[in-house]
Amino acid sequence: MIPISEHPFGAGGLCAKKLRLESNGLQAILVRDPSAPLCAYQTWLRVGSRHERAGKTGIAHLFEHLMFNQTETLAPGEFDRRLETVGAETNAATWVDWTYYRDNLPREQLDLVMSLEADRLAHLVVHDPQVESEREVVMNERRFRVDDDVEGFLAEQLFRLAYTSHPYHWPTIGWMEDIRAITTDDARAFYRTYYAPNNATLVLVGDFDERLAADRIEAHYGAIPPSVIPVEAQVHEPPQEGERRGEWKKAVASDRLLIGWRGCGLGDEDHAAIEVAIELLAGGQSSRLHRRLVIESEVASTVNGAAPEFRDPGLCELTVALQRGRRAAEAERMIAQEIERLAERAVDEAELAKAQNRLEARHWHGLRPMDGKAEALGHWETTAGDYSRLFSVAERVRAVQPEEVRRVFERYLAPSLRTVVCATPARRRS
Amino acid sequence: MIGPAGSLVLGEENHDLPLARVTVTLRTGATSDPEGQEGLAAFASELCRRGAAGRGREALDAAFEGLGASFDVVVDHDAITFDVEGLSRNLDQAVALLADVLLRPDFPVAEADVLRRESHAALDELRDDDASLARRFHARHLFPAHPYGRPRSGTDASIDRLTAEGARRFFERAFAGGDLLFGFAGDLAPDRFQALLARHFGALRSGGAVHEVPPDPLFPSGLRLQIVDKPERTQSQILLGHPAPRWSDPDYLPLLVAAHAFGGTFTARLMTEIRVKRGLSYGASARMGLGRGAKAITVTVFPSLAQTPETLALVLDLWRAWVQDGVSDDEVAFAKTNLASAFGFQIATPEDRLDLAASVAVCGLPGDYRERFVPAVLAVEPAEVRAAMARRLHEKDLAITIVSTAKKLRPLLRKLSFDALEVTPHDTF
Repeated sequence: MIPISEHPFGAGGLCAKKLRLESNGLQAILVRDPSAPLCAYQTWLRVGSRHERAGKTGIAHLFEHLMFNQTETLAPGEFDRRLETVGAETNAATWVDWTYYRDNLPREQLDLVMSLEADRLAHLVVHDPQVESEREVVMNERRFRVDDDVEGFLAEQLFRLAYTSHPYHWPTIGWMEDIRAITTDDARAFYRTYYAPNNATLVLVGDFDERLAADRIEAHYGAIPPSVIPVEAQVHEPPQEGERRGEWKKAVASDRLLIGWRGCGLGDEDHAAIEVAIELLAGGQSSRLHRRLVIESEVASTVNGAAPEFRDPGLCELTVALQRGRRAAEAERMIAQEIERLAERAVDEAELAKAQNRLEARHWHGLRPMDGKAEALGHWETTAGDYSRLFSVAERVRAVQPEEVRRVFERYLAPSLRTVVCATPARRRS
Repeated sequence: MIGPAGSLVLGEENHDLPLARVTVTLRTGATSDPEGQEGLAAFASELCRRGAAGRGREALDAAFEGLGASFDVVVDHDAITFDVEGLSRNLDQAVALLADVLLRPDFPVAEADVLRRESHAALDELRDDDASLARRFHARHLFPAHPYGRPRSGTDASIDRLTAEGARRFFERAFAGGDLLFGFAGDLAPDRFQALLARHFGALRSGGAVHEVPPDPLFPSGLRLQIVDKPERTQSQILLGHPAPRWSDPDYLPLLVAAHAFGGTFTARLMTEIRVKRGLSYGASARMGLGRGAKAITVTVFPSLAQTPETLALVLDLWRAWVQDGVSDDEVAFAKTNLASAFGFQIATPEDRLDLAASVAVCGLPGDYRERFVPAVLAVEPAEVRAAMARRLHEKDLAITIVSTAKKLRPLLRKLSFDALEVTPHDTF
C-alpha cells in the first residue's frame, strides 16, 4: 500500500496514517493504539440516502441490512456466526452521506475480520427471500424509530419541510411505501454501483502491527476490481424564503417542539462558529435556553441543541419538551428573543470560553474508545473529505471569536429561515 | 486504595488524551426509598447540586460548565454515582466544586419545589418513550412489593411527598466514608488524585458501611400479562421476565451462559427465529440482570401491533422449548466462548475499567472478579447449565408486559391464554 499522509494526535504517541491500494483505489487509515488487546475495524462507504432518488428512498439502509446475509461462499447467517464465535461484535449504520460497517474484535482475529469484510464487499449474494425478510425488519425498525416515536416523527417532518430539492428531504430509513416497493433487482444494482473498493475507506484502530496489517489488507482486498462510481449530481437547495411550519396531534403528555435552521457543511469555515453558537444556546444546564426555558420560566422540562455534521448544509436543531399545560408558542417566543440578543451583541469572553471548553471536552470524550476514534476518522474522511481535520477540531473551536458567533446568529438563525414542527397532545391533561 | 474516612479509591490512569473523569459512588440507591417516598434517593441526589456552600443552582452549573466539565448524577437501585468528566487541566477546580456539592449541600426549599415540578415533567417525557415506559411498568409487574419493582424516579403521588428536609435527612444518613467509592480514570496520576481527595474531602464523615442485600423477591406464579394501554401505537413493546438467582448463587453463571445462548447474540435462538427467519421484530434479546440482589432474565421484542399475537406466541414457544429441553452442547460452547472473548470490550477503556470496578464493589462481587470472570465462564460445563435451568426455570411462570393500544390488541390476543390479565392506562404510573 502507498503511504499518503500521517498525523500524530494526543499526548500518548498516537498517530493516524493514511494509505492507498494502488490496484483499486481502496483507502485505509490506521491508528496503532495498544491500550487494550482489541481492534476496531470499520468500512466506510461514500454512499448514503443522498444517493437515492424519489420513489426508491430507504434502499441504502435496507441494503446495509442485506450485507449481513449471504455471500458466494458463506451461507446466510454465517458472517455473524463466525464473528460471534470469536467474541467479535458487528453492526452498521447508514446516514445521509455515508454507510459504515463496524467490527470490534480481539486483536488476534484481525485477519478473520478482514477476510469476511473483503468477501462481502466483493461477493455478496442477494435473493428474494432475504430482501423480503429484511424488508419486514426495516418496516418494524421504522415503526420503532419514527411512527411510534414522537422525536423520530418530528425529525422526519422537519427535514421534509426544510428541504424541497435536496435529498436531505427524505429520511434515511425511507418512506414506508418506498420500503415496501424496493425490489431485489434494485438491491443488486445498488450493490454493483456503490460497493466497490474505490468508494470505500477502511479505518483500523487498535493493538496491531502496522506493516502486517497493511500487507493483509492488500492480500484480502487487492484483487477486488474498482467500479465506475457515478458522478453525483449536485442538487442546489434554493434559499429558504420565509418560515415553514407543521403541527400534529400525538399521544404525548405535553407539547414537543423542534426547530431547524439550515447551517453549513461539515467542512465549511463557519462550522466551528456554528457549533459554538448552538452550544451557547442549548449546551448544558447553564446555557442561555436551559436557563430561560427550564429554570427561570419553567416553560420546558428539557431543551437540547445539535449542530449539523453533514457534507452539504444540514440543519441546526433545537428540541424542546414543554412542561404540561405550557404551549410551544411560549418557548418559540423565548428562543427567538435569545437568538435576537445574540445576533445583536457579541457574547462576552467568559461565556464563549465556557462553550469552547465544553466542546473541547466532548471532542476528546468521543475519541476515548477505539471505535470512537475509528468512527470520528471515518466520518471526517467520508463527509468532509479529509480525516486530518479531526485533529484540529479543538483548535478551530478555540479560535472562534465573539464577533464570528454573533454573525452566525445573524446569518443562519434568523426567524425567516427557520422550520418549526410541533406535536401537541391529542388529549390534554391538567 | 483507602481514601478519606475509610472510603475506597479506585483508579485507571491513562494519559493518551487530555481528559479525566472522577466518580463518587454511594453504595445506597433507590432500594432504600421508603414505601410511599419512591424517588427519594434520586430527588436528594439531584437537590444537592441545586445549591451548595452558599452558591445557587445557576452558579454551580456555570462553574462546572465553565471548566468544560460535565456533572451527572446516576441513580439506580443499588447505588448513586456522581460523575464529573472534563479537561484534565481544570480538574483540581472541578473536584473542589464536587466536594462543595457533596459535603456542603444547602437543600434549598425553593429548589425542592422546582425539582418536584421538574420530576413530574420528566415522568411525562418518559411516558412519551414506549421502551422506557415498558421497562418502568415491567419492573413493578416483575417484582411487586419489592424494592427492585419501585420506580427510581418515583410516581406522581410519591414525588409530591418529597421535601428538602427529607432529602437532607437521606443525605446525612447515607453519605459517609464507609459507603463511598472514589474513582478516577484518564489523565490523572494516583498520587495527585489522593492529594485532591485529602485536600477537598478531608471533612467527610466516617461510618456507614452496611450494604444490605435486598431480600429475594416473591415472584407470583403463572403466566401474567399486563397491557399498558397507550393510544395510536403501530407497534408493541413486549417484555417477558422470569426471576434469576443472585450472582453469588452457584446457578448464576450457568444460567448466564444459558440466557446468552437463548438471546445474547445476533445468532442466538431468539434473533434467528424472530428477526432473521421471520422479520417480526427489529430486535429480539434475552439478558440476565446483575445487581446486589437477585434480578431477572428479561426477553425483549417489539413487533408491529398486527404481528403481536404471532410474535408473542412464538416467543412463548421458544421459551417453553428452551426451559423444557435446555441447551445443546454446541450452544453452551458457543455462548461461553462469546462471553469470554467479548469480556475484553467491558474493560477496553480506562472509564470502562473504572465502571466495572465500581460495579464489583457495589454488588459485592469478589475483588478479583475482573481476572476470574473469563476462566469461570470457560469452566462451566453443559451439564451444569442444563441442571441449573431445570432447577431455576419454570416455563409457566412469566411476567409479560406489553405497551400497545389495548382496544386493537386485545381482540388479536384471543387465541392466547393467560393466568392473569390486566390493562393499565399508560399515564397512571
